[in-house]
Amino acid sequence: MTPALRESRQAVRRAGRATTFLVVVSAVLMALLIAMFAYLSERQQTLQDSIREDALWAVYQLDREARTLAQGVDQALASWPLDATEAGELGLRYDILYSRLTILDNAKYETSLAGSDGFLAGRSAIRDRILSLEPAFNRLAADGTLDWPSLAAAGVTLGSLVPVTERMLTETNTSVAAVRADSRIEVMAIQRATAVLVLVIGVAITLLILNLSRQLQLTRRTTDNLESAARDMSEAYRAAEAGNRAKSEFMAVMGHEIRTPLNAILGMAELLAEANLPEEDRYGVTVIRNSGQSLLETINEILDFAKLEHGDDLPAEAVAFSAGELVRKAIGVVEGRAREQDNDLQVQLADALDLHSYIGDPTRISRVLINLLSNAVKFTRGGTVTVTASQVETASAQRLRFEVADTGIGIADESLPRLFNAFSQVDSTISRRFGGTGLGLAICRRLVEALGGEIGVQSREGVGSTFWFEVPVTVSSARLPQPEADQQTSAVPRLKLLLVEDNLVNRQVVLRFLDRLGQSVDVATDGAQAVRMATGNQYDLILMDMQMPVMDGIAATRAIRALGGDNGAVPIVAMTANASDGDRDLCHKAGMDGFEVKPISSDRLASMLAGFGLRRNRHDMATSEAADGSSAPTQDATRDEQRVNELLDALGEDGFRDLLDIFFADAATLLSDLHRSLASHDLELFDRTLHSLKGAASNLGYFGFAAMVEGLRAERLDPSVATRIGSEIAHLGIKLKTAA
Amino acid sequence: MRATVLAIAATAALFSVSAHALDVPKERVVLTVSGAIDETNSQAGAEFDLGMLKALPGRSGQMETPWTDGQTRFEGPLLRALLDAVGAHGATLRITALNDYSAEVPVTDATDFDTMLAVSMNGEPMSVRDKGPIFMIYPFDTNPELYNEKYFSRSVWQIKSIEVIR
Repeated sequence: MTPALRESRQAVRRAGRATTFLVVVSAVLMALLIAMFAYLSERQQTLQDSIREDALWAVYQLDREARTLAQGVDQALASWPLDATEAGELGLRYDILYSRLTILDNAKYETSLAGSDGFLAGRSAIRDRILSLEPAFNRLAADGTLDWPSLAAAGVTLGSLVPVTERMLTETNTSVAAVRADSRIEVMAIQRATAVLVLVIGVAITLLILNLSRQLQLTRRTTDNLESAARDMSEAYRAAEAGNRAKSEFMAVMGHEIRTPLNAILGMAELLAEANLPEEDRYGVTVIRNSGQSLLETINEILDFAKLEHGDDLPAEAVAFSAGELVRKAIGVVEGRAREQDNDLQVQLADALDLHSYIGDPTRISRVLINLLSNAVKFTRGGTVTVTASQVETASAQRLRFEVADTGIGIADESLPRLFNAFSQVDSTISRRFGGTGLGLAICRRLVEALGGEIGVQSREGVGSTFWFEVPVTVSSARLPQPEADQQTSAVPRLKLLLVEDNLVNRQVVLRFLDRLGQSVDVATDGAQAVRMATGNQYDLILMDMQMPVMDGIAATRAIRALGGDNGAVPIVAMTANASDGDRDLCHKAGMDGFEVKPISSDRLASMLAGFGLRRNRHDMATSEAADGSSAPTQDATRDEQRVNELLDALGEDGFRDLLDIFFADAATLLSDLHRSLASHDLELFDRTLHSLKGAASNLGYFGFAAMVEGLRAERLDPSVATRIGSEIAHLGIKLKTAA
Repeated sequence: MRATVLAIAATAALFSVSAHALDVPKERVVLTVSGAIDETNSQAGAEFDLGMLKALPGRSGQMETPWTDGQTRFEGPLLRALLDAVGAHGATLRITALNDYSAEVPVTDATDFDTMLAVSMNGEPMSVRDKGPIFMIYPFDTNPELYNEKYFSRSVWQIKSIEVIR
């Protein structure tokens, strides 16, 4: 984060805090104001309730009527005797005064006034005096007569009433004035408080508005800063990405450049290994093959990772596959190395797996599985590697779960978190001891994640590791057809082939293999030539290199497909050092039928030819099978029949005999090595010799002999070992001769 | 010419509707209406005894007033009915009490509200001592908004005469 960005973010936060504070203050003030209004309204309500007759007015009227009556009585006394009108007038005056008294009694006035002692005392004095006049005036009203003494007494009473009413008037006036003044003071206080409150709220809201506008400004500035930071970052990212892309492209090119000569080396080494070589040369060739193979694996891993990193990997496929078949094939890939490491490979397949086929991405799943298996085999010596596959059901989907458990060196707890990261080998001593790029698990993780699955590991150092992964699949109820491979391995039909390959050494390797497989092969050295030849001839299969001068494999395939007719429909299989899914897809789109990664082994070629032969000429196959069947050696209990048939199919009888000759010649050399190791007490040579012998024997199907040799390895430098092996080999040789 | 005939006819019709002869009071006169009125029955104007007042369309209402204790029932002719009876055509009424107190009341108080000239309280005729014989009572029961000092001061009691002022 840039300093400017940090600063503006802090400013925005500060402004936000100020806003919050102001909002709280405003809210409190608002609440106060509302309380004030509530009080005012309540006060208003009380005022409404206390709508009262005007006390002052009532008392004034009383006073006035008292004076009027007093005056009337005085006049009456002065003009005695009274006539009827005057008497009636006087009676009415009394009645009116009386009605004022009851008004004073009944009417509701301000409580403070009505309850005051002065008011009560005054009223009581007034009532006493008025009521004392009642009998006289009642008489007047009844018969219209009034005697002089009563009138005189009334005059005296009224004379004393007037000062009382007058005093009451004054008191009431004072009291009413006080109430009015108090209430005015209170109203003014409330008004003042309200004004202050409104002023403060106004200030708070003004501050709030100012602060909000400042905040808005700051936010805008921060947004601008963020945008420019994001721009800078995306530019930096683009630059880094461009660099990375260039690097990846360079790696892809270099990978191809490295693999082409490596193919030649490996191919030639394979051929050399099958030639009759002196022992030290044979050992050298083995070293070349093994080192070359691991170099190729390393390069492939780096290239795979570069491609994944590059992001140009293809989307996940959705094709039907058999999970059991997938596991068995993966096992087949690592079987050889597991044997070399003396590992026992075990497979546990859930029954359900063979009931269904699954729809998913078998290519990627098997890459991950093979990778995990290779690791397990690599880091385990003389132990057990167990593959478990099962179908698990999660809430949302069906998943296939694969577990690869080994009894190898295990992984320390602290290393587990880094395990699936690129470029981090668990520790450098491991890479020294076992080699490898450390990219395998990173690739696995990416592949599994690309499929929407999970990958993980449990491990204990020194005890072993269990790697597992789960990938979502769709279960298809349709059963897969039985793989053709089972039938294919039985024979290699003779096909008319066209090999398109520009590189002389590669061409030579494939030609020698094909020759051994008894194939008749035409050769084209570039795509254009291939197209010409395919136009003129009807081939059973074309093996097509991808990168060639003049016209590459893709273009040539398109041209051949464009021919139409039988010639245009010829099966074409790509052979390339580019092993990516992208290339595979490209080949598929161009109309190719298969895809083989170089270096291609003789076995692979054989099974491929068998597959295409089966597809094209079932009747040819039948005859060829019959021919092979007739020339098969008789059954021999010491040899594994299936393996022998496999070899016979791959090499033909002559090839197989050659191989047996090589084995016995080799066995003689090994036997002399054994004697030498016993003589010099060289345990290492002893062990290596027995190991080689065991490998060669099991390759030829002498599983019983291989097991015996393996058992003898435990006998250490026992001199009887050489004798026992010698006699067993002799025994096998005799058996072979007898059978022939 | 024709317009004049029509106008005369209309006036006659109007006159015949509003004009109904006013009786002469048989008992003691309690109320005298004077001023801008069409109907009279004496020199002073239109005089009424209690019987004549009670004969006018009226109302009765139970209500609280500042001058009485608790709920009190008042009964009497509507002020409106009285004004109709005398053919009053003014804007203001000057109402005078026995003690010569007078208050000016707009005629709209009679037309807008069921203001009555109460002649009985809780079923009894009102003596002068009880603020009788006539007490102008606003309908505080049906129009509570009238319950304030403005209308209190217009609630004249011991009414003796009403003058209709144009």
